[in-house]
Amino acid sequence: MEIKKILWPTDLSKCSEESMPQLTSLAEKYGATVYVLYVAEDLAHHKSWYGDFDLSHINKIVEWEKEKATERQQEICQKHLEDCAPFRRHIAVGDPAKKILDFIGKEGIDMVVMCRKGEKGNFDMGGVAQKVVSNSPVPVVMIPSAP
Amino acid sequence: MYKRILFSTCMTEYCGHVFTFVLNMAKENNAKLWIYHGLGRLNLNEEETNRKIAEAEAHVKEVYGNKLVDKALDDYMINVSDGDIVSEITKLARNAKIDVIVMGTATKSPIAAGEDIRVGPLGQVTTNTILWSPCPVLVVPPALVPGLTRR
Repeated sequence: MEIKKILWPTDLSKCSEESMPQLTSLAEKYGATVYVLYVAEDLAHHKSWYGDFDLSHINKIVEWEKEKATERQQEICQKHLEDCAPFRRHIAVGDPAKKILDFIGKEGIDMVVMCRKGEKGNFDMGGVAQKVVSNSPVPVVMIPSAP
Repeated sequence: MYKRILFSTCMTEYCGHVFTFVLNMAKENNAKLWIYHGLGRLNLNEEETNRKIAEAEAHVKEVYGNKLVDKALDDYMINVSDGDIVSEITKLARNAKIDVIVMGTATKSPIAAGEDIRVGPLGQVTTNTILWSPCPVLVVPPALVPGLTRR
């Protein structure tokens, strides 16, 4: 079982941070690189539903989100990953589940580690987690979140 | 890393492939392996229930026994029970202090060469095990089964 690339898709929430102990243990055990992926929602796709509007506002919001996500990603990686595993940070814009599945194929990921529930936590299992685990071509480790 | 692994099986061919993955994982981690097969709610009397469980245990040994011998994995236990499968899995995971549960995506997963690897909705047992499990759940996709068509 060769695991050299582990993907940690995260919404940068406290919930997803709970998967860190598992993630770092797996990365250390297999000497794997951790790929940290945050996917920002593509707000521009709403455009066609409601008619024309100034796209520059949307772009400004998406840029702001990417900037803040980069800061938070850096903070989490410094706190948890710097001393135990090599890591790479990525930010994408689009549908989270689709982007995660695309990323798995594009980067040749060997395993995915994710929390079963995201920040919103409205449902028992997050919609993104469910789509990823149903369609992932590689093993997915689902980490239970604290109740 | 993982010292106590629970493999939950529905005894399909797909589970056979997942079992190969689990064996490698158990060997690499020098872990103890629990093999669990749930029969569901049987609605039978005690004698018939015990007979069903004994038969299922023998079937599990017959199907997985050779692979265990080939891998020289001695530290394992076979558990078969009736009752709600998800409750039984989570109860076993809690009682045996399992580090990780390993299972497939769904009983009706594609398995024949040439079939598309895409599965339908995640199976009920897997979904509910992920929801109620006290430990991480590792889901092995049909895409790892040799011969299946990749997207």
